[in-house]
Amino acid sequence: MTFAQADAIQKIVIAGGGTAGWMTAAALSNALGKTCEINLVESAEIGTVGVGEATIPHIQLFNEMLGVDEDEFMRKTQATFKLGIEFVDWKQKGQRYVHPFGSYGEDIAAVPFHHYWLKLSQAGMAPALEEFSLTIQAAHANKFMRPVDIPDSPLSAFNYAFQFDAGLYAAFLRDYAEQRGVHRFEGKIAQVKLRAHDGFIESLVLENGELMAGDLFIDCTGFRGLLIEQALHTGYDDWSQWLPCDRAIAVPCANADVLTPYTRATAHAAGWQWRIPLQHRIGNGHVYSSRFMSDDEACAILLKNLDGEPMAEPKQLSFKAGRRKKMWVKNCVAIGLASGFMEPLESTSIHLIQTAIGRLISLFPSRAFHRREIDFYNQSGAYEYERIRDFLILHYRATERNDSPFWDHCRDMEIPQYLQDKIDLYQNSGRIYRENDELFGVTSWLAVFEGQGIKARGYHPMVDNLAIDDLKTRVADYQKVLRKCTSLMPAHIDYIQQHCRSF
Amino acid sequence: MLEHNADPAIRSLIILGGGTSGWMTAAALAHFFVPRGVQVTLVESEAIGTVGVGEATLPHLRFFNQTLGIDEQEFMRATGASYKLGIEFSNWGKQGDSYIHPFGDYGQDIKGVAFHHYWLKQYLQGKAHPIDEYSLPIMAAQQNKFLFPSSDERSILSTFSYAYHIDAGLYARYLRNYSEARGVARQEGKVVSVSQTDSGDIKSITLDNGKELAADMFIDCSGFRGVLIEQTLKTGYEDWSHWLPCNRAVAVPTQRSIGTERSASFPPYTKAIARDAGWQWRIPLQHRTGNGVVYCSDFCSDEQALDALLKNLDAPTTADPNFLRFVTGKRKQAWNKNCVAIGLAGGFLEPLESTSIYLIQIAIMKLVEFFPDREFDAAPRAEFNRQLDLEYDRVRDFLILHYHATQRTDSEFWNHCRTMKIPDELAHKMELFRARGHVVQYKQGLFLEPSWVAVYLGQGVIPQAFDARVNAVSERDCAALMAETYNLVARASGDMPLHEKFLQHHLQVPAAQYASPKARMSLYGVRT
Amino acid sequence: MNISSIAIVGDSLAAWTAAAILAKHFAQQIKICVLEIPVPDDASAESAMPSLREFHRLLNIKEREFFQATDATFKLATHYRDWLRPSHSYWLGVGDCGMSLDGVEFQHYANLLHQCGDSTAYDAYSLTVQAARKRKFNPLSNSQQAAGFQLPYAMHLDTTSYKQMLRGYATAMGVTAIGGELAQTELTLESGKLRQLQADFFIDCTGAAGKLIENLAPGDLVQDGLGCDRRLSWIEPSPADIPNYTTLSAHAYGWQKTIPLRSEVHQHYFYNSEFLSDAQALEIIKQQTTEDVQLTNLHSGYRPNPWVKNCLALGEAANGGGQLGLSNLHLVHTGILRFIELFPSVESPAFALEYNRLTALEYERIAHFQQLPFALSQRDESNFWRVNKMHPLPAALSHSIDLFKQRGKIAGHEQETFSLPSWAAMFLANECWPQKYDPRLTGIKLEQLQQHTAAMKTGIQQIVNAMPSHTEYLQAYLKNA
Repeated sequence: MTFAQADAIQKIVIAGGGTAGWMTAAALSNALGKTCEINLVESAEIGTVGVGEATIPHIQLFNEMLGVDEDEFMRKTQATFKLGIEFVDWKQKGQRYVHPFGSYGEDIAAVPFHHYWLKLSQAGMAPALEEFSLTIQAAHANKFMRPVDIPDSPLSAFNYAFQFDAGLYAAFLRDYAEQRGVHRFEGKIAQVKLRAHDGFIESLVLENGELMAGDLFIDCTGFRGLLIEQALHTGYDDWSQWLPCDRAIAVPCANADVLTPYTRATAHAAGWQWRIPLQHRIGNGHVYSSRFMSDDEACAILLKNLDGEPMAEPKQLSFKAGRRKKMWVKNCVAIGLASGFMEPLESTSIHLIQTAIGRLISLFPSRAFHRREIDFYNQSGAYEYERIRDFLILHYRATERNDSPFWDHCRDMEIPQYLQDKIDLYQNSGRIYRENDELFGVTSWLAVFEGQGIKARGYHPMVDNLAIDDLKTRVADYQKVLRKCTSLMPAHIDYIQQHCRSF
Repeated sequence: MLEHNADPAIRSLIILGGGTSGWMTAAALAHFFVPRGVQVTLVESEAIGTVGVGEATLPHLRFFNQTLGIDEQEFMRATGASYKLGIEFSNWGKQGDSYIHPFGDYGQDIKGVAFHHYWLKQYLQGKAHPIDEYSLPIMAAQQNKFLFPSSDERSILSTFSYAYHIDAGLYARYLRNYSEARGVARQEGKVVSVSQTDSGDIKSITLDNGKELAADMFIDCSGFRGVLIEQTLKTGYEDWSHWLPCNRAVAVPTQRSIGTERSASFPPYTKAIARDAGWQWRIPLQHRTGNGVVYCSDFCSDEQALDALLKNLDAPTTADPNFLRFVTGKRKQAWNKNCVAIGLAGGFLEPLESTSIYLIQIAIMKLVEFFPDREFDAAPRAEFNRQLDLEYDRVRDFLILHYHATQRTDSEFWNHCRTMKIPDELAHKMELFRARGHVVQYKQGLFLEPSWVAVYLGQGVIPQAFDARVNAVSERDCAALMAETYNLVARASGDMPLHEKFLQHHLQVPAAQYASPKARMSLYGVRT
Repeated sequence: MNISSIAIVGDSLAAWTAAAILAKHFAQQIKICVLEIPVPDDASAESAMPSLREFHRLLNIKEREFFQATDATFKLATHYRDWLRPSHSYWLGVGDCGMSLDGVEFQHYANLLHQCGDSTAYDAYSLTVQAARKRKFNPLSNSQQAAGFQLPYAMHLDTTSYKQMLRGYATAMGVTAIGGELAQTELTLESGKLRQLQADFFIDCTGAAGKLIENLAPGDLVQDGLGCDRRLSWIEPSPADIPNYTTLSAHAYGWQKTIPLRSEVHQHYFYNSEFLSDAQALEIIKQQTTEDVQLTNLHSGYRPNPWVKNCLALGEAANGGGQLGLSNLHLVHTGILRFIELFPSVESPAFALEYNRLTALEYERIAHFQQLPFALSQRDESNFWRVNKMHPLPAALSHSIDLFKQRGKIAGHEQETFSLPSWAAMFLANECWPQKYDPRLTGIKLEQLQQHTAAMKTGIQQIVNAMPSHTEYLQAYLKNA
């Protein structure tokens, strides 16, 4: 046995199931093969939150990494396709816009399309920005089709994600993980035993007395953070000054006539309501700030705004927006709600689990647990969270609503410098940069800026190299192509029927 | 949705009028366009009888049925149909003569030269049988025989095709069931008024029950009156009575023929017997025989015509005679604005060569090919009209030939036909044939070389000479070829079963055994 | 009239083509002779159409022998350079692009994909074009043909040696060649008879001068003033990698036609003398080559009545082959075959009338097709282009263009030389995409269509990649003779 081998992680314990736990179990069992023993402990008694039901296109990479067949995954999770999120009543009551996947228009002479659009828009000659997004057009028409390889057609180059039942997803990944040797233990954790000399976690003691020892521990125990917080006292950064919502009520309801290929986020007086259509039902939830609205009122609003009959008792939860000060401490990595929480306004919850797992795998430690990896992990994690946070804050800040104290608060609140810089840059010159692999790129920022009324005063100077008539022709041609592409796509429900209908 | 980007596709279409033209159109649209989102409604009135004289058909109808997925056996049961190998023309060239215009080729080309030239060489030397005897469908028809053709080019059985005699009313009903099962709506009623848009397009029709029906597009199958194409859009009609003077018909059904041995068997062909001022048709169906005379009121009164008809029936009548008037000709544009005239509304040519249902079919097929959207682009519409005009012109000239190529002098009518001025193109064609048997070839339209040869030779237009290339083939080879064809035809036709037996058998076999050949848009065998 | 003798006048490719086919049919019955009056008009090389192969089948001429004798190469396509715009090039292949599916022509499917942003060029679906672009050639195997692929082809040939070949064939079948003094004297016609020579019927193959037909029907020539009236020709050495396509390169005053034979390349520089003088043209060519250059006058008109009384004009005497001269030899074939079809073994004016009627229809359609590259071109930088582009379109051609632009359909006429799919390919090559396509394509499953077209493209590329080069194929082909 070599020195390296002696030092290798041999036992991993995942505390907690749900999406976080089972995604971690599946990914680690796939990546580590037989080199490591992986055990997961969860309790059927502790309900899992399951609000993370809409996703973003990156999840395709996760499925690919696991070697999962997309149609099979969708069948098992009652999934539908998602082309973007429709935001209703955020800028003003009665106004709506879509934040789409994919891009707007096509670049001309290496300059991003939106600058050309800005020139026309500033001259009052531009059609709506939404007309240049294939996914928005398809979403409005309730159409869907996976991309087809038609050279240079918008149909060959767009993104999509899924909306699925997170509980079924967890079950799906549990099968996957168990087939690859992950052991599941049933039980509640009674105690976390730490090593005396360095404070590392030595083992978990379950209520039935069983001991679970390990080299590396993953804390997927949710908000409580049994390991990362209650045992290791890491600390939490509170972001409620920027993201005032702290409660959510969720209830599923019966499906509507039309199966929409997008999520909807409708702003209310003190928060917002999500609508996530699945094959068998619609997931709904009202996220709100208890400072500005009572639980009863919030529940009433939710129930009044359903497409069909409620199919269960509404479930309430509380949370605090923010992040664990450090997500990896000693030999414990917090993944999922244990690492932090931001409301699912931009469907980022499952994504954050995915990136945490990916980051862990690429920085996978040995028993020596070098500082450098841990620090790098924490820095990256923090940066990622904060950029997402800033993007979410934008939704609240960039409002013209003045019909409730909540919105007054949002309009006036201080915002992080990073966000302010981004807004200023766009307003001055129409430029948007993606920095350091932050999650949201040009399309996303542009969608929300334009959707919520932040207007640019300038545009990229190279845009003027193209004669205005040529520009108008190109733009009109592109619109025609998009309309044609959309008209040829099948209805979302027919496509699901044909490829991945759940039974 | 975004209205200014709205899809310009046709959303709704009204067919005005039932009968064969209305329901054939409905069936075709049900097959092609109802599944693509076009709402089709057919408006007809039980009160308005449909003409239903188009009872003999051409092989092209098989293609129509096949395209729509209509099973031939089922179709034949539903329409009381019999098989048709051609038309027997009697007394056209002169009194007492008779020839059959078959669905088939005469012999085969040798070294790129048509058979009839070889036959002509022999004939002019007094050494050939009548050309009929070199045609398998003719010999089969004369013996009341029938068999499905073969698609094997090497077999003599591949040199012919077939069509049907049908009860057009039953066919219309069959297609109505077909169409309604596929989403076509039927509306009972008579039109009392028509409204138009500012640009003159047809906007809506109002019925006698008060209902107003609007649509993006209209098909006028309202018969001679042309309620939409003529009464509303005033398109105009090209009158061809100076070339085809017949303008009346009277029809009466009879029981199946009984009596003489010949007619005891069931003929697989239509009869067209020239009379004093027109001609009489006889169309054999399973359940009855269709009879009628077409005549010209300038030369014959209604009473005279009816009298002549009743005197020439070979079985008791089963209903009262039905009189009709018509003007031979065609609508100046079959497709005007957002209205397409199909059937009698588009034009009329007497059913001498069974072309009525064909002209409906070809208009429908071209409509499908050029199906518009709400912008009604000019060029496709113009092309539709151009192609349809050509079809009508071809049939017209061929019909005129029947009348003009006569040697009859026994009535004013025939004197008129024999001496009338004919279209220049037709005169030119006749001159070429008279000179040395050359038939003008064309690709578009009905009636190719074999048809012209049949009528020319059948009505006594014998060329003075023949294609010079024939002389490159030795006398001996020529004679051998002719003999071979003659024998093949005699043997093959002799071996065929009787039409009656074949039909009865095939109406009853299990569907899987009804092995009719693939349909083609051709009057002839697979090689033509 | 009882025709017992036919005199073909002129020592041209048209003359010997006519002699060969007439001899094939009538050698036993009719005396045929060719009066070999020198005809300078013939281009030195011809880019033939696939009908040439059919013609050889009629004459029982073996293709390999033909290749041996005429320095021939295979022809799979025509490469149009700089026609739509300078620096733009497109290809038109022999044969058709794609195949009809479910009764709807392929161009509708391509149009649908194009409207979705597909940038695939239409000729990606043409096996002949793809093979031509890479200068590859090989006849298809049975399995490739069974899979639905086709590789129709034509040839490039040297006209002088081809004429000699046909001369040998015809004289072997009994045709008399009359040269010498008689051939040098000036032709004189008196009341339908040629003084030098007795015959019942004459075929005028004397080239553009049309000496006999002009005598019988003087001035009966329609000139439209379009196209080019001059041709400068020269010969260059052959490249190592012999092309299997004709090149037509447009320039400011006309176009240049490049016909590749095995041992040499024939260049023909066409121009319109109204916009470029002969001296200027020669200057331009002198920059390109040091070889000897020949100047020929051309006419782009046609005779509406090529058959008058007992005289038939054939070849240049009947027509200039259309603006681009794409079908000169083809028109000789159809012209003489039509005559045989309508052979006047009985006296009647109807035959000539019918002949002239059909020929006019044929020529009109060819002229329309050849006017398309001009009508669709975006070039307007010189008077030549402006004049040709602004020339009013005949009604039928205008209708054809409108029909395609609006609906993607081709209006078929009676005497079509170029197939309907070729018309569609010409339009699409010139970026003339129809606004609409056949509505029977509504509801089509895009994924299936995309798979089908992708398979077509891949299938074509696989076949082409497996082919040897045209040069290699020729070497092997001719070694086995």
